[in-house]
Amino acid sequence: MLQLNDKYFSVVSKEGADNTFKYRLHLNASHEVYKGHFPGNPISPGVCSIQTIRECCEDALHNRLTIRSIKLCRFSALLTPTRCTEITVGLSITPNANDYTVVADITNGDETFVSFKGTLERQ
Amino acid sequence: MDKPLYKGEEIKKLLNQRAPILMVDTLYEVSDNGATTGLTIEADNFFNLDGQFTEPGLIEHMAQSASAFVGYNAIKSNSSAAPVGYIGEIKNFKLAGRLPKAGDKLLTTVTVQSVVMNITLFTAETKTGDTTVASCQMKLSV
Repeated sequence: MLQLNDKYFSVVSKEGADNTFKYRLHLNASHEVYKGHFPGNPISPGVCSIQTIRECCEDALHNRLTIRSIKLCRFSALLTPTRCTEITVGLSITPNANDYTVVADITNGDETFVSFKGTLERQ
Repeated sequence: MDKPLYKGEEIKKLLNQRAPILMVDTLYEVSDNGATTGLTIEADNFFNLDGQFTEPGLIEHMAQSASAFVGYNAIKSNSSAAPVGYIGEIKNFKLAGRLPKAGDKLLTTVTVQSVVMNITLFTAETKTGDTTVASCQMKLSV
């Protein structure tokens, strides 16, 4: 079942208010997904980064969310949980009439792994 | 549709992904610039949540559909092993309606728009029956 919080990642700390949030996450390199992505060569699947962004948004907004559209999501560096054990998810969430515009990134220090812009809907 | 080109265990010749994240189970057709693939969503699929197949699962399925096309051509042209592919970029992903559910059969068409060095730009559309589920543009790095 797809729910990554407390399995694929765990929350180290979170801060923010209103529309801007920062989540510091620890990555679990022994999560089952790495058995298949890829055998003997653990690389965090890009789609798990997208799900991680979604789950952080859900935590920030206290709501389940559907990813209705992604304008652009760029994976600028490979993320490996054995080399990079902690990441920061930065969120900027703008409420619209019927949905939220989310601009997010996944970074560690100076390194950017993922840049995301999309529309999420309350379920 | 004709007999599939690859299905079940054979699909592992085209893709490096393995359980629980192998998200294509059939390669139906290949043309010069694209392919048609499929996936039956089992009840215990990694990307299911509350009986529904989620958006990250759809995106992974689309990426692996393009990867299967690249893998098929690698094997046909020079008999080399299928290369490992990574998603470089996703653009204009749209979830058209409801999420698919366990038991649904996804049918996906990927069309290559351009290939520059080791990056393939393609469009993908996923349907269940006649209904479009999702579409996107993607860059795949191999």
